[in-house]
Amino acid sequence: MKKDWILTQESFDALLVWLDPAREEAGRKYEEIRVRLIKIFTCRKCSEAEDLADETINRVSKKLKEIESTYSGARAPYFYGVANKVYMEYLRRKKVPAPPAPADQSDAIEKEYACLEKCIEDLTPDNRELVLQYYQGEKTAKIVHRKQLAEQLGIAVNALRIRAHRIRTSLQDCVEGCLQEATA
Amino acid sequence: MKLDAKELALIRKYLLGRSPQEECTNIEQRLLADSDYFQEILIGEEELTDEYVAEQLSESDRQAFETNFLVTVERQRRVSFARRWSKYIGEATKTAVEEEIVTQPSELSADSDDSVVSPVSTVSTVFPVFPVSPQRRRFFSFFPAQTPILSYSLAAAVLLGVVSLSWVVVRNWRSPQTGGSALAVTLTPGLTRDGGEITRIRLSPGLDSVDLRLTLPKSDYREKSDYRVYRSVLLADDRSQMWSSGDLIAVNEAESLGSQSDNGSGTTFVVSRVPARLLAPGDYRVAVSGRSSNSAFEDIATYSFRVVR
Repeated sequence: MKKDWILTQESFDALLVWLDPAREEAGRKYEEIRVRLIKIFTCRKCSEAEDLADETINRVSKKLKEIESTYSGARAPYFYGVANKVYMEYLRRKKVPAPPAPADQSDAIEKEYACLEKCIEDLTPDNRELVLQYYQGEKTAKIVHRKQLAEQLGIAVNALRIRAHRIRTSLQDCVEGCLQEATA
Repeated sequence: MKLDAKELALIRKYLLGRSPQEECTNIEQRLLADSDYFQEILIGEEELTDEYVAEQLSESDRQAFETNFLVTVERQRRVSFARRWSKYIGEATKTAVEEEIVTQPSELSADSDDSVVSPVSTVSTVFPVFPVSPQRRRFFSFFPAQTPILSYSLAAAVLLGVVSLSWVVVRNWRSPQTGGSALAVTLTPGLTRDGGEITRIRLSPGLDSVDLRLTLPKSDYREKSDYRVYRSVLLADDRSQMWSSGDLIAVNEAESLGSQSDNGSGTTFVVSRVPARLLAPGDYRVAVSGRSSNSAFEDIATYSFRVVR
């Protein structure tokens, strides 16, 4: 991969301005684009998804002076085009083998489980109740149960689905933080 | 946004690595530009992972999942988490059902001959509720007293002890200067990368924690005052998440000092306490989001700082 150009603070600032004149909004857009590029590279089975996303952003920054006066419209499609080029180069390079699946060792399992319990306790009572209710049951019973839960909460099933997903994501983030703390 | 079944099937196919090129392009362009659609991708990943852990995938889907989906460390961690989560939910359900059987023997025996489930059943009667975690319930089952009066007395004594201990802990926690040492640092929103102005924090040996006082952008406190609580996530320089603090409450400096005016003056901030031992020398970022009245978290601001020793 070509890495003869390094992103400077000046070019990074210019990229943010190109994304949005308001600094905070630009920062938000930058993070969104980066996370989504990582997801795209991950879905394409790239083991270095984060590096490829950063390389994509760096190349857009490098091209900025050439395109900013002529390019109009949404920024995301431009990033997508550059991401495709970065991906093609990645395919041509010798591929880094995917990391082996970590073995589930009993002490690691215990630690993760303990962290999970702690993080569940840290949730607000409403969120704890919701997430525990949402994920119980299997197959048809689960579907029926979720409909009843949504009715009880007075929200649509899809809104409940999104809410449960967000709580679970925060739970997983909490568990990962707890595990890092435990191993620090 | 609610996707129809066909669109959800396309996402599933994409995640399993089975979409033809044209479909991939459509999905990727959309996930890059549309936040709601990106969220559907994330939920799709979670649902697929749960089905894999529950061994509910067909043989061909399972193979596709292992070959095309389970290719990154991050996704492998998600599978690991899903296993622990599934076990927890299973145990919680089992424990709660046992509790219901113990606490409601007469209702169950009265209904036991009736195989028809009442159409007006509430959620809690179809699925048990979880006031506490399954492990804590098992703990209380170790109480030696078998009579209700003795059990309640013992429980009351334990509760009193716990409350007293909690009070002492909370007092110490709220007054860090009298207990463990804490360093307070004020950060203002801003992004830097590869240089630029950055707040430097020097950590002295023996420091227990760092209180990051995160100044909120004024518009987020005043115009979007429906944020109930805030969350902060500490990210290392490589973007890996190191620490998160939830349920943070915003404090307005002027109001906290007793000002009666509500003219928006004064700095508004949340305080995130981070254990000092997590902070090795290097650059860090803190992302703050606020939870609005509909329980969704919205990104608010990002802060940068550098730790030096």
